Amino acid sequence: MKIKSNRIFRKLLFCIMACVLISLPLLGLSNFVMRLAVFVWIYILLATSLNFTSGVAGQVSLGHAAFFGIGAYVSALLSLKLELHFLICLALAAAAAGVSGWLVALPAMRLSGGYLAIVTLGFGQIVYIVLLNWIDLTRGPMGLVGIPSPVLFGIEFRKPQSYYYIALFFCVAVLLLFKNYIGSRAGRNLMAIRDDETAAAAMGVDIYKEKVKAFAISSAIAGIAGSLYAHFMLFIDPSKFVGDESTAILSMVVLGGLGSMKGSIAAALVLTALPELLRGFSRYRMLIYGILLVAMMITKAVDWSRYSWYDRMQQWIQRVVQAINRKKGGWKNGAA
Amino acid sequence: MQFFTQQVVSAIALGSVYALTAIGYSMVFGVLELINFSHASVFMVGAFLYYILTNIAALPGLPAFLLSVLITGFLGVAVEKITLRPLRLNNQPKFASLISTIGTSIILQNIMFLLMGSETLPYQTLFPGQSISLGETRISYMQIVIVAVSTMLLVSLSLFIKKSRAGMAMRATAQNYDAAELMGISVDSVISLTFFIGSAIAAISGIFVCMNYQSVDITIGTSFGLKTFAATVLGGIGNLGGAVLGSLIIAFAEVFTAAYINTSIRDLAAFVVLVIVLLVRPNGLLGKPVQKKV
Amino acid sequence: MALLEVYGLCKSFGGLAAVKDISIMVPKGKIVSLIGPNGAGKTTVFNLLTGFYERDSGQVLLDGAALDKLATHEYIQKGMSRTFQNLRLFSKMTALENVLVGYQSRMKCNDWNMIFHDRKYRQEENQAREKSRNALAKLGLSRYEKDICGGLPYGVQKRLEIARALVSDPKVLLLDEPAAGLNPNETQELSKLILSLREEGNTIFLIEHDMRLVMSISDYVYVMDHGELLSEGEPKQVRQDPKVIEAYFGKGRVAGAAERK
Repeated sequence: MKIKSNRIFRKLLFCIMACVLISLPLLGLSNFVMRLAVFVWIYILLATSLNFTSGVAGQVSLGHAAFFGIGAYVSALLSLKLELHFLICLALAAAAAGVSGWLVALPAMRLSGGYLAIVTLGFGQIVYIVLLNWIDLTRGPMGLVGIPSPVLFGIEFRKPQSYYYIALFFCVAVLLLFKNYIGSRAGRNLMAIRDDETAAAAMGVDIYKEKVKAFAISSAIAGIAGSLYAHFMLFIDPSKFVGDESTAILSMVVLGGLGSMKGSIAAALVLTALPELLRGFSRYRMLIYGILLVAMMITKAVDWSRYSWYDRMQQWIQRVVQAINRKKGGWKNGAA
Repeated sequence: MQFFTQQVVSAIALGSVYALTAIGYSMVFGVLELINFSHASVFMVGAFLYYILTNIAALPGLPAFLLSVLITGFLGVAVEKITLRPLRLNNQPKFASLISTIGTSIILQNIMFLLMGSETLPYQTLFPGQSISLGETRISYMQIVIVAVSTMLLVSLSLFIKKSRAGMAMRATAQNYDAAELMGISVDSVISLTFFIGSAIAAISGIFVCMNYQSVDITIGTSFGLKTFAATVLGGIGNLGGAVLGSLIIAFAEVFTAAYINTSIRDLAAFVVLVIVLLVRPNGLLGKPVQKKV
Repeated sequence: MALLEVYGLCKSFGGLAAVKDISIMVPKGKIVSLIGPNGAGKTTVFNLLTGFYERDSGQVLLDGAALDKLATHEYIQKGMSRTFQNLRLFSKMTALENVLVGYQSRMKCNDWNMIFHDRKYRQEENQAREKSRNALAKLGLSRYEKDICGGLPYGVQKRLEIARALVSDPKVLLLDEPAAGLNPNETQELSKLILSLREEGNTIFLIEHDMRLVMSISDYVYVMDHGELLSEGEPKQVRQDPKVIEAYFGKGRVAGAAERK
């Protein structure tokens, strides 16, 4: 009985959420809010992909913004110089970011915790320096301008209201497939590596191979986010892809609870929307991220297991529903 | 030839400054097996304190220097007490401590940013423009002071660790944390001492760097932090001699890249060296491989 | 011919010989035990047999095939599955997930199957879950299926580790001190359990400290001290071997003191 009501509840919640998400651009919200909504989707992709390596597999990366940047620049350059179609740019951006992630991971995944963080931090710095100094290709600090908007089925997705659907489609598709993957043997193997590498090896998990693969996949998804960002902003410069951005993404993952995909999504929503919505807040954005990181660790508010917010919220709502049902019974009895 | 020797002189000066910061990383890693990301920000705060004390509080050079070193030392102790000790006492995984130090680093950086802004500020140096000439090579007084003070500090520190009681307690803790505690060593105070020394020396290093370049800005933490860390790993983390060796190599790589290839990619050299070393010898040049316990 | 044959196994760490010329036979369907005082090198033998250390010399044959030049994670595929002396569970995963990881070496789906959850994947996953639930049931752990295993009682975690090692249907099950830290009642249950595993046809190679447990369930016993084999035989013979008694009970007291004088 309980299981059945749970399933119905889930379906209902899913339908409501889908309706809200699909109809959001039709509600006549301002351009500002819709732009923010697109950013939220992009950051959800970044946070969930970093959560895959850092939360699920337990490998702290401090260079996630670099793969975001590689995706953005590859996509922008391909569409500017070769005038390729948006979808091809997107796919190649994912491939480029994935391959660079793979190349970084090959040496880096032989290293443990802190070393890996340093190497990824260093890699982020290298990418930033290259973007800034390879002026012939990237125009350096001036950035790339005039990136074309995507055109699909003869429609140009330029306004935030229409681009929202592109972001929505790609993010939801990626998230669903990603969820499948994490829920399967591959995800379990990574969690096993996070919890105890020795025992994981004894159970036949090829630790090095799985870690490298996870890092490459996570980088490829950051590349998709980069491509979505470039074709939405229509202008990119290196300052968006600095180390601070990597830390911001890591804060989202930590706030959402390491390893929890739903948590990452919720945290990306909150941490992307809040600084934009509160005026004068952006000055303190990084400070607050830093405080969040430390506070989450110290208060042990992070749930290392997977009792994510969603589950707890759901339990809470269920309790309310049960209470209402009981009340109803009470009323009926009273009426009888 | 003159150009070459000039570069050697700057590389040695830079390398000895790097070594001071690198030792902080190495000491903390030795005791806690933790990479302390906040070390770079502590370094930056030390450099800024001197700026604040000399320019805003208008103190003379030497008291300002000593005071900023002392305050930074205590800052390091406070950082450990607030952001790391609770995790250690609760047996949280290393992962949590790592993230905590990353967070601390960002907090310190942004407090400094909010207080001082992001502009590059002029830095008071000790002997502006004074130098001696050896043949055709010019060596500034500042460079001489840097190398002399760094060498002195490194020697006295290694003597302290080898000979003194506190140093012995430190080594014991580094060898085996739990056993040291059982033998009646107060591990908490050893760790506090480690953070104090590491941070104080980082402040000295930060002040020297800024005196050398005669300017300070809030990004020095990130760039110097990464390079000195590269130096630490290169030499073999947890090994003081390694920290010095690695620092010199990184400094040479950086100075010569800037001099002979391109100034704008000088920071790249350090990371390229780091990646190569990690590929070939993950434990660094002087580090020992660790046998994994099953 | 025994199922697991070990000939002349040697290993030294930095010049210090930890295991010297050990030869062991584990016949199919039997319980063979390796005992010895602390630091005798028993766990090192296990680590050599499951690829955690590389052996200096010696030969290991499983079902007649040599186990050579394998990476640690390949041993379970060959049919060697182990538990650990100190608990090494995946502490933030559920009990069922732990056992599923134990079964993963038998799963063949590639990444595409897993990303798209296609039919092949679903079939295999369902089969894996069924197998894992059976393994949990066999060790009486069904009711902990959904619990995060880090919070489970010690005895339960010990059994969970056996379930995790058992689910892959290994040819030889290597148990590293399964009774360590258990109370007498739990040890009693454990011995029944190990015997029932043998009834089902499992071959078990056991390291143990608890002499009573070893003597009551083993078919054959090897005794190790200072990295060398001291004695071997059926439990009854070994128990009466003076060398074993000296190593185990009399060391430095009776015989040892007498010799020194």
